Amino acid sequence: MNDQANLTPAKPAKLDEIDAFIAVLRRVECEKPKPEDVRELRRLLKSNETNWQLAGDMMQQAQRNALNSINFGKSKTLAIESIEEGMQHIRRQLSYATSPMLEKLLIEQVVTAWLRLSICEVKYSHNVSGESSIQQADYWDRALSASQRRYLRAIETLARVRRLKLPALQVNVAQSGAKQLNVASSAASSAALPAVPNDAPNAKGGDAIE
Amino acid sequence: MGWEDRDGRRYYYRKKRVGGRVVSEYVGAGLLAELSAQSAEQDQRRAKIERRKWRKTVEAEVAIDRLMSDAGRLVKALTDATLAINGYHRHKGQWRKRKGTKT
Repeated sequence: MNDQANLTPAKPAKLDEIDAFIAVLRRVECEKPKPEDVRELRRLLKSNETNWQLAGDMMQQAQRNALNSINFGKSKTLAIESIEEGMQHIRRQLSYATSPMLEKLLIEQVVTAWLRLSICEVKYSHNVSGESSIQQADYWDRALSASQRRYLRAIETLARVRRLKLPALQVNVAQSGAKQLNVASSAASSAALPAVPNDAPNAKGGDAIE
Repeated sequence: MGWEDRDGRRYYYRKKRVGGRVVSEYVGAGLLAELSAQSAEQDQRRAKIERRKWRKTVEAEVAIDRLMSDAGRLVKALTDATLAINGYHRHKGQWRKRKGTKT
């Protein structure tokens, strides 16, 4: 979150590419997929269209928007710092720095879902105890339930992928204005996803999360 | 609004909805009615501002959720694709290793 000012916001036009990507994926999901579909999916997954980058950007944009949606009042800087520290703590707990690229993306999803849940909790308690209407209290109640479900789903997905112990994936990541790089998973992910502090542990810590 | 002319005099009525019907409730005439009308107008203005504020809040929340859903859709697609090219297939909602494939 430290490099927020340099990040490009996610482009909605890219969502068409995601749909095309998903269409190929659906063809491969069956028990006996056509070899050409598998080849096409492999190509799309490793292509320099940087779906990985886009997913990371979208996640960061969602984090920024979520943080901006709170009225912190005078203690804004302190509150944002403490929330960002909470996000970094989760990344460390989930061994972000040493995880393969896919897991990094899933960890970022957990972090985003945690942020959304935390903000919803604050807004819920603020609105339910304040002067809000029944309609508003009901809205926050549903928003809180939805964010709890999303958070649990994100954790489950990460745990499931870690259980499968997939091999590292090599992906081409083109950085804007720079020469294209052909990098292995962990290095690619540091370009695609938010930076983490250098004090992250080297050992994998499993699925532990607060 | 709320004022009604009867026999050359103005009377202030408060309108409210009871069981799906609009009902007029007599408030008064003269200074008391003027003050009551002003107060009602202020309340309406305040409620309008609150409604606008709430609409903006909901719009912002919906935008965040939409962005998270789009990002989630892409992450899911990338996860599924990674599993698919590593020899897994979906069986009744679960990922299973395809027969004869090595990880």
